Amino acid sequence: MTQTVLEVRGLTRRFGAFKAVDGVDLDIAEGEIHALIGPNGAGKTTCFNLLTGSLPASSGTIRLRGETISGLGMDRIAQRGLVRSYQISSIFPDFTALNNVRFALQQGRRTNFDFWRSELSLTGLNDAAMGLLDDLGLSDWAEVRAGDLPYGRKRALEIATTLALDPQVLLLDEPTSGMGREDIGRVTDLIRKVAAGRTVVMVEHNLPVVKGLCERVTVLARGQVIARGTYDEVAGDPRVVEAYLGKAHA
Amino acid sequence: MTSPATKPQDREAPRMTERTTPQFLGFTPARAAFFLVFAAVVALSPLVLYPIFLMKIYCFIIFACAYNLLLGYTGLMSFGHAAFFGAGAYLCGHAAARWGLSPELAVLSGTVFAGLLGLVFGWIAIRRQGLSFAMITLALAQMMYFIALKVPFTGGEDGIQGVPRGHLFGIIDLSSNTALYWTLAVIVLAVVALYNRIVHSPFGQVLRAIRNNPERARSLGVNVDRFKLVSFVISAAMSGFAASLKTVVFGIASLTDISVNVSTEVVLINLVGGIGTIFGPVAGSYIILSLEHFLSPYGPWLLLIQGLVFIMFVLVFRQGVVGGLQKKLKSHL
Repeated sequence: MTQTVLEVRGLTRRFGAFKAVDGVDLDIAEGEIHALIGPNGAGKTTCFNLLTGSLPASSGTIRLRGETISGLGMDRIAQRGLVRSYQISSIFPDFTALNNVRFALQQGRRTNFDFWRSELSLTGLNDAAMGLLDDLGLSDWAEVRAGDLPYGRKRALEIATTLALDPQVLLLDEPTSGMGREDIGRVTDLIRKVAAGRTVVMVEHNLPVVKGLCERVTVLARGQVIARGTYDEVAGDPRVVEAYLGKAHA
Repeated sequence: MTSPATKPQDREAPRMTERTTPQFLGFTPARAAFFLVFAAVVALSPLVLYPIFLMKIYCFIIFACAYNLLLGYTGLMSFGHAAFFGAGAYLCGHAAARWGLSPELAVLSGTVFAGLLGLVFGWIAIRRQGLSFAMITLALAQMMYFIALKVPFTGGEDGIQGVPRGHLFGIIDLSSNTALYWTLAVIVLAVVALYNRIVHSPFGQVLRAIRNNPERARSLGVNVDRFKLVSFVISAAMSGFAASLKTVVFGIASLTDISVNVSTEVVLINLVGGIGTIFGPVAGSYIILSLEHFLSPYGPWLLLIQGLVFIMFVLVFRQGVVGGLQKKLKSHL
């Protein structure tokens, strides 16, 4: 068994009396592609928000390579190598596609406070940024204002921007949502490609994508883990069928 | 917003963009051309216009640049910049008139004081976004106005009068309007160049990213609050700098400098000139202060006309004069 990269124990988040995430334990192994699935309202996105520090947890601990990261802000967690993409494309609309990616590359350079240097000092990052755009089939769109890109391209741009940080652990929130079949194929191939050398955790509704891509699956329902294992193991689990389809089918 | 995406096949000839355009000290050819026109206007306008009026415009250009850095490039809308303007004016006046400091040290103390006040106000205000942020800054500035009205330090209704202009660095006698004019001319050109440089630097990129999408910036590892605070402090200090210069020029710091009108005027200047542009504060200051200058004989009608200008720009010309030009020329001005 390989080393655990992300270890989550008893993760809980309350909104008033409602427990959106209720005592979740997760062990994500180095280099795996792990899917978090479950019916709507199961707490998948809340779970992501807790893991990345965009929401504070009510209780529980999160360890990244043995170091506790729960309680740190989202920026600090990103700096430690755990970076996410969003369900609704989150980009910098007034920047060109190239500048979106280049801005993420800038983060690794400790140049953020350089107000006396020209932005041309960043052009050294253009080749790396173009390389990432190329990987996502965006090289022809490099100079287009990101806000003017079509939907599928925005998703691709967001993934390119996330990858620019070269994260150890990549959290993808529904990477294929709202995409056409052709784009889904491309993004699936891309995830497989980028997963080499890093760990990927993804929330995904498209079950064929999960089946084709993910080595292990954790199923959430009503904020709790109800099953875990390979796709085929959990697909046959009566509790999973019940959670998805209701009691009558179980 | 509605312009259609450029299709790959339309892009045979690559457009000039920020990636390919050459720059010198943050100036693209288009921005350099605008800057040279501005410099020429600064050099020639005292031949036809009253220098004191022109110096007032320059002080407001600096103030408006300070404000635009925050609103146009960091996306923070403050309604309380009168606090920093007033603080700078009072401390500069106090330092020159009562401590007998030389003008450069008096201006420096006004600038630093406004920056420190910005650190405190910013630290409180950046905890909230949007309207709440604006209201907190407004409330803090109104408290400052009340304090200025009550404490003896400010001279109450009289203000601090008879602030001496003194000798710049002990050599240049600023009591001559000519000497003072050229000093301010150099300063305003330097500040606009510096403002352009800050916006078009790696630091400026971070500010613009925060204005575009603060949540995403944070998720990419940017300490958003720290950058907002730094931007706020720079803006406050620059506002204090502008007010200090104004105090040296007019020899007075008064309640007018800290009243809410100052906060709204700087919004109006940038709205008319162009929010999120380099030359918007320049154009806006010329336009708004000229309106005030030439319409002042009509008294209260001025306020009515200002109000109409405000409404007109908000309704039909939100990008402002320079913003409109920028769209036509397809180049960031």
